[in-house]
Amino acid sequence: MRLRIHKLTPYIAILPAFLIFTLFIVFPLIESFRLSFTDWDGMFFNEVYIGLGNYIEMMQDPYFLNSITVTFLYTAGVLVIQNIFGLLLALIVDQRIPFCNLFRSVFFVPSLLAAVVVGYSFAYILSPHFGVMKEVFSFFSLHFLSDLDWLGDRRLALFSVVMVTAWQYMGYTMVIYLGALQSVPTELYESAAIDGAGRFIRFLKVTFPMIAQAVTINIILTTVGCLKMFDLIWVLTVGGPAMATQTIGIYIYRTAFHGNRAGYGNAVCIFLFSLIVLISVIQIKYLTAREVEA
Amino acid sequence: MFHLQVGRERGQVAFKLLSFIIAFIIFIVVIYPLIQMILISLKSPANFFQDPLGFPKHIRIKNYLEAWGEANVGRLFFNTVFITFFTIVLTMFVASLAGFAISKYQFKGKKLFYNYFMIGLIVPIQVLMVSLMRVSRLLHLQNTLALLIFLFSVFSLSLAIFLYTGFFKTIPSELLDAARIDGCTFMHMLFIIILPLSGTINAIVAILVGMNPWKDFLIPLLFSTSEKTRTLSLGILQFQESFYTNWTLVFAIMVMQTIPMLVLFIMFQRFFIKGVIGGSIKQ
Repeated sequence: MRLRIHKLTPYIAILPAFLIFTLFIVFPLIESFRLSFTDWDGMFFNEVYIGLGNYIEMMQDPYFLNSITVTFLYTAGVLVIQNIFGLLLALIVDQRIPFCNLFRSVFFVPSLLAAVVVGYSFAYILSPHFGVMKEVFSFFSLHFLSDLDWLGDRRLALFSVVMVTAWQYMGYTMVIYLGALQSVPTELYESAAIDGAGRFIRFLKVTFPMIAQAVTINIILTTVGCLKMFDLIWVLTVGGPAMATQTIGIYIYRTAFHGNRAGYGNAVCIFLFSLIVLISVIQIKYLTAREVEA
Repeated sequence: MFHLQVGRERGQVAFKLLSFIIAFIIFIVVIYPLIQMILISLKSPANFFQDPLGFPKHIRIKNYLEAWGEANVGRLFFNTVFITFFTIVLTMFVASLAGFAISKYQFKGKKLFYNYFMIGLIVPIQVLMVSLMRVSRLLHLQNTLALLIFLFSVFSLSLAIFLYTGFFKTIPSELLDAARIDGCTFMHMLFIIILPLSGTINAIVAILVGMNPWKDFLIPLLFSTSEKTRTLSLGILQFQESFYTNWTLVFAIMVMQTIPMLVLFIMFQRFFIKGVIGGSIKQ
């Protein structure tokens, strides 16, 4: 269809979006790229070009390499735990059990909470001095667990951060799985049941292939979400102890704003950007493929 | 055959019971931090240190008043609501304009512009945080509410354009042809015909966009350097850092910050759920 209005109308209509985008996303992105080749300190406009210096330094910087390992472990951990629980919850509340609507709503609530709220609540729950975790484990006489410092111990902090993230967003993952589960035609289950397929076989052969798309979507969303994660970890551990939870996002913030090395920070930004582009290209491809279908 | 039937039914019941038990345990795990937050917010400091986990001895509403006074919560609330409101208005206005043009008009470079807008889906604030500091200084927008509104809105704009474009395509073009013959202009069509027809998508966009100023504190952490522009999330962070012994007050502010979101969720649950699905895939 073709509306014959003034030729310029559509251009005027997209102009505000175009301006805001250019000013606050595209221009800063180009600036990030340019500044990553400088030694900018983040304060004065006096940067000097140092070529690939920042990138060469990055490859040898143990803190940067550590932040990659941490980000990778964090992402992998959240990916597995959040998706297992998300799917489990979706399968549970999809049945007709008592209070299933209440469960569904309540499971989603944490994903609405602010990072500060979740962070401080759990900083308190996991506290080795007066936290409820300690009490629960002592109650069951699991003393080897009750004395642990969940956020303060270098070997446990990352695990705790992963669990809190999964706690907050498993309901979100659940909603996406639930949407997919509810679009599976019931006749499929019925015919499988008539053929004598057990519950597990039915899940594997009928449900799972039908929700495969939702699995892909959740994997992409969780991965990109984890790569971007900053605030929850910041509240829980500030990247510590001993950088055990210092993800790339936190490392950028530290070097650029506390270490006054904005040029170097920008090089890390560009690295993070490349990583996210790689994953998002897959996402966009997937989204547009669906769009063509519809 | 009969036995088999009974066996299967009994299996069904057992399976549902097991499901219910698991759901109930997770329910407790999910709801506990919220209950704890409310309980602590109602304790006196002494009561909190003697018995951090139990019920409050006397319910102390005064915490809320003290927190409101000491942390200047009124100002933080005002800033957050102000930023949220104008972020929603700006995003919806800009995104619906672009979405309408892209979905219902033919023009050169349409596909290119659309893809340009989708860049925002890829670039997160973390990647731009350093250079945005510089850009905000170049634009003389440091530490202004306007800057926060622009930033919160630009980081949800792609999704909003994506949702609007997708939805507007489903509105029959005949409707617009008829309106145009009656002399409707672009703006008239958008505001009198299209947007009133898009109730659900408007609600979804408003929720997706409006949640960020309440939830995130990275943008204000970077760009609010004084109380003038501080949001509630950032206020809680800074209040805790400066009064870290005063947990009861911190929890009181946290309750105040959470309640508006919960009330909205209870009222508009349907749209929140649709928003999640709409944000992940095209409906």
